[in-house]
Parts: sequence; C-alpha cells; structure tokens
Amino acid sequence: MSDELLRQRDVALVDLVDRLLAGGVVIGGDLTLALADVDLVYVSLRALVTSVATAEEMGLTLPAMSAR
Amino acid sequence: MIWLYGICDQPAEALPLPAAGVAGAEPRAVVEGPLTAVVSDHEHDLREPAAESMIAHARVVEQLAGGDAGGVLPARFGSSLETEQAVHELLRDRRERFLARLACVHGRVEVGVRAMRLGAAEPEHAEAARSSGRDYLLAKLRERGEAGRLADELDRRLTALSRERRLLLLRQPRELLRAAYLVEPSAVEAVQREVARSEQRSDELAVLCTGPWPPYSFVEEER
Amino acid sequence: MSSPADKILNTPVDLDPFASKVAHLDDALSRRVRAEPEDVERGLAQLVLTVVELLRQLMERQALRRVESGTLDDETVERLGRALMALESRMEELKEVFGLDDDDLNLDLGPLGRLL
Repeated sequence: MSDELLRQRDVALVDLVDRLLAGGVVIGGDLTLALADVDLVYVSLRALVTSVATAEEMGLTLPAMSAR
Repeated sequence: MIWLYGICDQPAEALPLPAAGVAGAEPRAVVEGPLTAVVSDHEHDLREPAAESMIAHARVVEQLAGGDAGGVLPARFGSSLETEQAVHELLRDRRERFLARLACVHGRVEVGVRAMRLGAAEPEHAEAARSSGRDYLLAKLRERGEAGRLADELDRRLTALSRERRLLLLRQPRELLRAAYLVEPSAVEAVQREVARSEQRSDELAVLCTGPWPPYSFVEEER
Repeated sequence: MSSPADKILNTPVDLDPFASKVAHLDDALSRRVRAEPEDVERGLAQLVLTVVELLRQLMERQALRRVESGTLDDETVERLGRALMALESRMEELKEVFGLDDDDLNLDLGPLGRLL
C-alpha cells in the first residue's frame, strides 16, 4: 500500500478507535478489560494497525455499510 | 462473561448476525420485550490482543447497522455483563431510552467531521491579551481567523442536513471543529460536497470527513 | 467489504495535523486499562474534567459567535471574556493537578462512564 494510503488508513483507524472507546452505550460491569490481567489487554495502536493489515491480507475486512 | 455488541429493536430472526465476533465467539440474540441485545459468550476475560477484539467488535456492529435490521445502538467496546439475567435487566431498565434512541437512529448513519487550522504560525497564545476580557476574546477570534468562520459555517450547513448533531471535545490547539452528524445515507454525498467546498475556500482550512459509521455518538440524548 | 481507509469521505488537503494524533492515541490507549485505586481517582477526574471542558468549549464558541456578531455591548464582552479566561485557567490547573492532557479527556470514561 502506498505511504499516503497507509496514513489514511491510520487516520481512519483513529476515528474508529475514538468511536469504540468514547462512544457507544455504556453499561455497568464494563470493567472486564480493566480488571483482567493488564498484559493481556494492553491495547497498542501499532497492534491494531497490524491486525487490520493482516485481516486485509486474508481478505477479511469491515463489512461495508449499505447506503439505502 | 457476556460480551455486548449492541442493542436493536428488531426481532432476533431479522438480525444479520455474523458467524464470529470477539475471540471467535458466535454472536447471539437476547430478547426482552421489544428490544434485542446482541451478545457473545466467553469463559474468560479477553485473552487475545485487544486490538483484534476491537476489529471483531466493529465488524459485528457494522453488520448490525448495515443490514435490514435498520439500526443498532452500538455498545462501547469492552462492555460486558455477568449473567443472562443482567442482560435482561439492562434491556428492561432502559427500555424507553433505548427505544427512543433507536427510533432516532433508525436507518441513519453517522458521519464524522474534523476541521483544523493550517498555517505557519503557532496559535497566538493570548498571554499579552489577558489584560482584559475583551482583548482575550478578540485574540481568540483572530486566532481562529477566516478558517474558524468557515468551520462554523460548515457546521451550520451540515447540521441543516442532519437529523442530529453532536459537538465533540476539541483536543488540539489547531482544531476548529470536531463533530458527528446523524444523516440519511442518501445525504452522505451532500455532506462530502459541503466539506470539499469549505476546504476549497481557504488555504488555512483542512477538513477530514469519515463515515458512514454506525451511530456510536448518538446513543444518548444530547445533553 | 470495506477497509478503514474506505471510511474516509474527504481526505484533507493536509493529512499531517490529523495523523499526528496517531502517536498520542497509542499512549492514551495504553493508559486506559487500569484498576488501581489511584487510577480510579484519575478516571473520576477524567470524567469530571471532560464534562467541564466540553461545556467550556461550548460556551467559548457561543461567546465568540456573539462577539463576532457585534450584538453585545462593551461591558458584556468584557465580562464574558473575563469569565472565560478564568475558566480556562482553572481547567489548565486541574489538568495539571491530575496529570491529564487534552488527549486524556474524553477518550475513555472507564467504569465511571455509567454515571453519565
């Protein structure tokens, strides 16, 4: 992927992560991540980007939202 | 541990449930009255890298939002419940609020807009201008400049195209606008056009527009 | 099927200011998952300060619009400006006390998010 496309993907990922972590319905008992062993739930953006790259290579990507 | 992806108001049979969610677990529906929670079951807390879980969570939410289900209130990543009972309680306790929000987001998508001020100079820190309230405000206005006015104008136009709009927290000095707009899918193109037009009107304005997203920012009433 | 880059509806003329966030996000994400007491307190501070900061920003926007519109008399402009100045100073102090920067606000309200 070109440099520019990679940066675009990173920027879009930041937008997604912002939504996942700061948006959405909040419920009590969402301490799972925080109470689980820290090492296991360390979230690294680098890892996230890697996961997306791997998923794309495997042909797995986010489903497109249909415009109706 | 029961992982929550989101809440829908369509019958379970109508929901487009993907085969796999977080940690490969199969999402399923929990029905309580008019509401359905989409969840998956896990014996442990997250064992895989959270980054992969985020992708998996996002995929499930996108699928629920995009299908004929018509709409979903996405759950915040990491939301979990102890028991089946707790899921039912959640849906009972917040039934009216969830139904109201679902009616609002039904069939609509979220578009995110972020506008930044470009330009060589760092934001004029109004230190000298703290001598009076008036100077302080005028310095802020100068700092925002033409780009700031264009960003405000863009926000007004996009709000006019939207069912709802949320202003989100600005986090950087050069940020002029950070907002989420809830729009009909058919309006996404018009949003794109407005954004592109605004950017063209000044060298000092850069605007990022992303979407369509499931309505992450619209799960609560505007405060 | 779409990939994250497909979510971009308008690529800004300059991507740099937006991309600079990526490194910050990494740090902020790594701070998210804690349950020690001092972090619960920090989480509470994050929650409160986020709400206050959002209100401050909304008020600032409103004030600037009104000043720009020229409909306010000098005395009102002065009062508004002083109030906003004081609020901004206070926010900076509070952020410093709790060791929070702008990126820490709003990113995650953690277990206390339910209070909203």
